[in-house]
Amino acid sequence: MKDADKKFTVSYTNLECKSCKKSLTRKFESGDIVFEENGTCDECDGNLLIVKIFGEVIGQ
Amino acid sequence: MVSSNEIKKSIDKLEKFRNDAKAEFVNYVKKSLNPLGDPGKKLEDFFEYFTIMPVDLDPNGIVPKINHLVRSRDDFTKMHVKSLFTEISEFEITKVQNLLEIVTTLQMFHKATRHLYLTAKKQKNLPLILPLQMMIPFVMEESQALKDAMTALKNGQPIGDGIGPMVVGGMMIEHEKQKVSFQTVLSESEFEDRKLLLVKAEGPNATVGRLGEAVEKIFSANKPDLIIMVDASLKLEGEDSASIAKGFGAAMGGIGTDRFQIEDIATNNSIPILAIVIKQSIHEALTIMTKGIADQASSVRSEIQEMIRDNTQPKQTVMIIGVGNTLGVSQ
Repeated sequence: MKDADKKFTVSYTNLECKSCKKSLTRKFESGDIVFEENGTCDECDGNLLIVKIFGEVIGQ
Repeated sequence: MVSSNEIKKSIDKLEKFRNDAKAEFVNYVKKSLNPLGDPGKKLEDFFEYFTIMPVDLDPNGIVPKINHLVRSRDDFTKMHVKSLFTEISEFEITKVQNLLEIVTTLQMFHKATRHLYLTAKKQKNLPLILPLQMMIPFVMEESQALKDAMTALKNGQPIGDGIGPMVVGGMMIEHEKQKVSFQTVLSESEFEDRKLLLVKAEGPNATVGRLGEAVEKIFSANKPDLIIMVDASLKLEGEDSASIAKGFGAAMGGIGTDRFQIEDIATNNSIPILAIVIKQSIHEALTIMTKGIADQASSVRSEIQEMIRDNTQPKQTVMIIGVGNTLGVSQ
């Protein structure tokens, strides 16, 4: 499993503003849940909705 | 062909997986959940629990028996997990139940493979090693996936298997939700003059809900003209991850009792069942959802809309069921 040992997964949270539909992706934070609101949009002050949480494998 | 030496190495690796998973699980319970006293002994007892399936000499009527057995086991585990803590949320209980299942499955894999290997050696019975040679790569693949699944479970992150509930959960936003059976929710909405009955396990818990029971209850008040089931599906070698496939019949894995209930109702009422599946490997299904799979949610919703247009008329009712573990996915 030498190859697998070198790999690690980074988790991301993708949020979308319910008003202006602006999308932003940041690192996953504990307590993030898909389809729950989390913070406000820095452009229009609308509520941000978590639309995706996903992992990306880094390294080979 | 896998050699005897390689089988031994795999069994040792399985033992390590099991030990690591046990230690990780006990550590999580102790450090993150504030249990009453030392839960080590009680958890160790749980790891040894087994399930005896009902006699199938006369298979007629076996499904309710299996259903009863599985439900009783779930209720029992939940009650005992709860008793380890003064206060614990439903979300954490379901996570602990899933983690417990991973450890017991790894334990069972290790015991079963070791038994076959040692018996073959002891009896110098070479043919006995053949099924093991064939099975071990699959067992190892699933074991690796189960071991890696622990991270997503501990963090409460959606797994690949959650794509069905994620698709349907997205259709439930802004609509009223009601609990329809244990850990299962129903929401009603409309699409191009059709009534939609949306059903999924209750997120963000780590649960698949009781969809069979839910469909039975919904049928007493609403008879749909079409059922669409959305689920993750294991991809065949050579197939692309996150590809979408459509077909006929109830898309649902697991032990089969919920699927039986849904098929039974659909058959008795002559309702067609259509399926949309999102292909993935077992590792992708059990670990944090990949970007490729998550990105498919909106495409699947478009496919559902097309299916509704093509297969129903205005004023008709469509039931859409999101099948899978809804960990980290609300509605």
